[in-house]
Amino acid sequence: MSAAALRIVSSVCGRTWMKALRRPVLLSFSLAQPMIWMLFFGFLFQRYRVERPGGEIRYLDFLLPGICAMTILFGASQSGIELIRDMQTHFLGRLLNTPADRRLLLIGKLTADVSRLLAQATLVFLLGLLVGARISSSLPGLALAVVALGLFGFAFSALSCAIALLTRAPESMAVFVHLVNMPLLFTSTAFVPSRQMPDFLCLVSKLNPLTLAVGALRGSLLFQEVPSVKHSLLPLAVLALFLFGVASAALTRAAQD
Amino acid sequence: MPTDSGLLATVRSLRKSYPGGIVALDGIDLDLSARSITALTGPNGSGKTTLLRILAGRVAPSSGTVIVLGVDPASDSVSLRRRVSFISQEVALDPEMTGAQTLRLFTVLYGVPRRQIAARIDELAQSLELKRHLPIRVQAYSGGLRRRLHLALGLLNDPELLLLDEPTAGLDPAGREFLWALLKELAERSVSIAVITHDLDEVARHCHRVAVIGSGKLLACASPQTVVRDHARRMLRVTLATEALLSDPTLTQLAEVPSVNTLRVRGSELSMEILDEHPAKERIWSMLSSGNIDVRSFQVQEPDLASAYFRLTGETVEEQSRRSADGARGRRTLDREAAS
Repeated sequence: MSAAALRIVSSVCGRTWMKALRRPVLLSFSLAQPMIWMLFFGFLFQRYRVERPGGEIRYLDFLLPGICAMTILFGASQSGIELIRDMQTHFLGRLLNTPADRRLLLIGKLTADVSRLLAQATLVFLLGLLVGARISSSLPGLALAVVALGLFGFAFSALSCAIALLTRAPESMAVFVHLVNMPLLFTSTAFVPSRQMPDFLCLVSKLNPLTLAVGALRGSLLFQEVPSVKHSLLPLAVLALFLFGVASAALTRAAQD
Repeated sequence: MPTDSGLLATVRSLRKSYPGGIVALDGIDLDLSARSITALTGPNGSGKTTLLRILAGRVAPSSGTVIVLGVDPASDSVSLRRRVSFISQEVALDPEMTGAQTLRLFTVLYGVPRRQIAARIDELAQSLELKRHLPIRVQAYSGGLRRRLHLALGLLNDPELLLLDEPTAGLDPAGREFLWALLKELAERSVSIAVITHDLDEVARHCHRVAVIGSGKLLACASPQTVVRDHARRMLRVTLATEALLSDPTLTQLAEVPSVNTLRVRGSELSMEILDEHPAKERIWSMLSSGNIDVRSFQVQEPDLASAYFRLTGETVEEQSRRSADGARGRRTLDREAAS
């Protein structure tokens, strides 16, 4: 990437961060939601033991990576809202009619969104430790798990942006949460291990990208595993690339309207 | 760079239709030259904004040829986006950003070299009198200030072709004069400017050419003086104390006076084109007096751009103001008149 391209990405990223920080209520709400889930689920299933070959693990320990990935999913689904605001003020059209490569504008925005989501997930993770979750991690494993979470966040932020650009309606974001987030969350291994799911759900969970992100983080945080590049990072990278392409096409279309 | 003939944009047989059979532009031919300000004027919905958006590459034409700076704007060329600025009618700003943040972001997007950014922002802020407002968020700006910042963003790239859609809307008289002075200065620096405006006095004073568009067709395109010479007529406007009745024999006689070309009656207002000033004026005055018609005002309007415009577009002053005041009510009135 050239210096000029980097300046475009960092400028758009800086603007997205600045706007996020100017909405502390929204920021704290998107942080409070996963924390509430973690506290409720963590204490509700305190006595539930997750079976694992060679032993059992405490539910709170099992839950923490799931909640961290959920933080990313829920936050990513709101990414498009900012684009809808920019469309309503006609500012987006203005940005798109500069000679800057539109993909760089999108990369700048998604970079800001992913870094914010990872920061939020880190805060949730620290709170989890505070309420008693225990981890046993290795640095390389954790680093690759963060990459997996980042790719997952990038993919779903791009999807949210594509939906926002195509529908242009804030209401579509609420529909997105219900139609995409909830099914994705409850068919993943975020709350329950796949071996304790009904057979059909177990199959669905294996195809669920959230399962890949949760699996990578859980393996690294609880069992010192290093996430598989082939089985978790690569599929997430392909998904991120595909959804980025969809969002880029939607952005180009928006420039013509 | 302008071509040898100095043309920056050429439009030939341009047609744009939308689904549902709506024809926005119907065979437009237009040239835009360097160092000139061309006004695009015409009734609302006549296709002016569509024409500007096609020149800016934001809308693809249905047929015809459009070449801007040697490029087809529909190709969404990056080089064209660098060399052409389209300043939309809607002020497109982010209210949460300050003026300085907005300008800085766009200097980066336009690829202004890092070392020149501060100087470029300073220069524009100075010329648009924005400097002391730059640290403030746009949401605290007045309408006029927002419009200036909106314009500043379009000038950051030093465009060769500047397309403006009603840039004076919402500006106070001082702001309008300021804007026109700026546009003249830009034109002198070899920028070609196409500007949509409804203010015909400003067109006559500031523009080198005027293109009158009606129902998607180019009705006239020449210097304001030529348009006045070729299309304007001397008008006589008479206001009566009571509503004029078409059945009144005096009005019937008026319509038959040889030097009266078109007589329009609306409420208590009469307007007519007169071919010669003094004999016609005296004759009409004596006819109204002998018909015992109480006259409140009696004015001759010399040929000007407004009368050329109304003659070309078939609109009247009343129709235009009524339409902008109350579209639906205006349409009903016109229908009634047409029926009568």
